[in-house]
Amino acid sequence: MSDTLLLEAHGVAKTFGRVRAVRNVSLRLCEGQSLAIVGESGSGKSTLLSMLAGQLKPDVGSIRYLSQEGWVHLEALEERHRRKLARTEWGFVRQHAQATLRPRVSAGGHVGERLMGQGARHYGQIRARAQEWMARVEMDPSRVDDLPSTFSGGMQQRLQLISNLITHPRLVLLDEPTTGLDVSVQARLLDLLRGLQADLGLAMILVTHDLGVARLLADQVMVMLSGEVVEQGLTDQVFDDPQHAYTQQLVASIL
Amino acid sequence: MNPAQLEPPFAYLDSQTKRMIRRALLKAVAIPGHQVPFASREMPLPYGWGTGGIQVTASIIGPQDVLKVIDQGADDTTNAVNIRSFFQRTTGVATTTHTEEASIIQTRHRIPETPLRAGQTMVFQVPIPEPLRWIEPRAQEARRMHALRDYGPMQVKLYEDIAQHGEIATSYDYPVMVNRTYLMSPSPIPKFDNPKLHRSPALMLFGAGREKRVYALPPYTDVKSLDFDDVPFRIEQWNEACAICGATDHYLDELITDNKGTRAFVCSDTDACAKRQQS
Repeated sequence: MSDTLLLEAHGVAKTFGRVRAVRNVSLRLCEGQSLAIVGESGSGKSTLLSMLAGQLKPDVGSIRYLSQEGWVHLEALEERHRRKLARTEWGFVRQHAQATLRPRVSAGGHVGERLMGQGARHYGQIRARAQEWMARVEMDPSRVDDLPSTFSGGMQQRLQLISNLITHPRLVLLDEPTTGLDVSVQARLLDLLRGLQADLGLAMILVTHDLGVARLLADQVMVMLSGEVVEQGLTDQVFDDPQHAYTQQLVASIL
Repeated sequence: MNPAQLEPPFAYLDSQTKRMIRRALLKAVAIPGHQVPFASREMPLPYGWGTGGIQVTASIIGPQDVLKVIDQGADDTTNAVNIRSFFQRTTGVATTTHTEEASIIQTRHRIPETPLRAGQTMVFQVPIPEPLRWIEPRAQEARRMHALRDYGPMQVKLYEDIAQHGEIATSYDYPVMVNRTYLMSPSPIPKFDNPKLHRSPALMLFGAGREKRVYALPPYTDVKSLDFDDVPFRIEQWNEACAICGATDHYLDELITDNKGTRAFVCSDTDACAKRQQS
C-alpha cells in the first residue's frame, strides 16, 4: 500500500429538488486502499458514488482524481475524457449484473468490450484474454461463448467484475456487489475480491449496507445518515468502538 | 393566387423544399458519413418505398440529367419502374437502363457492377440510417457515441458474430468507417458492394425519408468495412456462374425454378448481365 493520494473529495453536496441527498462530504483515498460507505437506504451512499464516478456533478464542492496524466477535477471533466477514464482507469460494478450485461452478447464479448473500445482488433487475442480472466475468477473458460442468461447470479457478477478489471483499472467503485446473492456465493465472491484487490493493487470504494462485507474488504469506513457523514475512520476502530449513536445502533443490530 | 403556382413544380417538390434538402446535402458532403437531419416531406408513396431517395433525387435532378433507377440491381422491378416513371412525368428527363449513360442512379440494395465514373451520382434509399440502432436504441446516446467516436460496442457486435457463427455473419448493411472518422451504414447493399464505395469517383448520396436523415460520401472518400485483424472482411463468393450470362464476378441471386427445388443463379444487376450476353 502506498501513500500516494488517488482520489480526494472536498465539501461535496448534491440536492434533488427539496431533498438534500448528500451534504458536505469530504474523503481521501490513497492508491491500493479501500473505503466502505455504509448506511441505510436513502442515506445518499449511491448518490455519492455516482459523483465519485463522475456520472453526476456535485452542486458544490470538488472531487479530484490522480489519473496517469495528472490530476483531473471530475466536476469540470470533459465527457470525452470522462469516458476514456471510465473504460480504462476506473471500474464500476453494480448490484444487478443483469442490468449491465446485454442478453445477446456472450461472456467473451462482455469481457472484451473494453479492449475493443480501446482499439483491440484481434479476435483471437481478445477471446484468449477473456478466457484468461474467466479462469482467474474461477469461471470455466470453455464457456467464453455462452450468453449471460445461462450463467448463475454469482457467475454473472464475476463476469461484470472481470469485464471491468481487464484494463487493470486503478480505482473500482462497487455498488452493493454482493447483495442478492446467497451466502455461500457471497463468501466466494468476497474472497475473490480480496485476492484481486491484493494482486492488482486496486483502490476500491464500496457501497454496502452489510457491515460484514465492509469489515472484510475495507480499510476505512464512512457511515452516512440522511446525506451526512456521521462517523469516519479505520474499519476496526469504527466497528469496535462506535462513537455516534447511529453507528452504535448499526453495529448492535448485527445478528 | 398567382396562376404560376398552380403549375406542378419540376420534380414534384416545391423549390423551397428542394433548397432545404440541397442545404442538408451540402452539409452532408462536407462531413462525409455524418447524418444530417432534414425536414422530410410527405411523398405520394409509403415510407419504405424510397421516399428518402426520391426526395434527394428530386432536389438534385436537372433537365439535362439522365436517370437510371434500380431495385435489387434490376431496372424492371415494380419499385424501379414506378420511380422511373414518376420522374419521367414530373421532370421529363431522359431515362436509361445503361449504367454508363446515367448521370443519376437511384438505387435500392445494389451498386451497379459496371464501374462508376466521375460526374455520376448514386442516390441510395435508406431504411435505417443509424448503424448503432441495434446496439444503442437511445438516439441521443447514439449521437453522443458518434460525436465521441465511441465505437467499441459496434466491434462487440462483430465479435459476437464470430463467437456465435464462426465468421462475421452480417451480409448486408455491413458497417463501414468513413475517412477513419464516422461509422456509417451503407444502406442494405450486400457486403459484396462495400468495396465499390471505397474511393469511388462518383458522388454517393443517402436519403432516409422516414428517419429524416441524409448523409453522403464525396468522390474518392476512404471507406473501410469493419473487421478484425485475424478475421478480415471478405465478400460473398459463389461456386456457380450466372445461368444467363455466365459471369463469375457479379453478385448472384439464387432462384428456385420449379417445384422440385431446382436452383439457378443469375446476376442481380440486369444491365450488367444483358451487356455481358451481347459481348
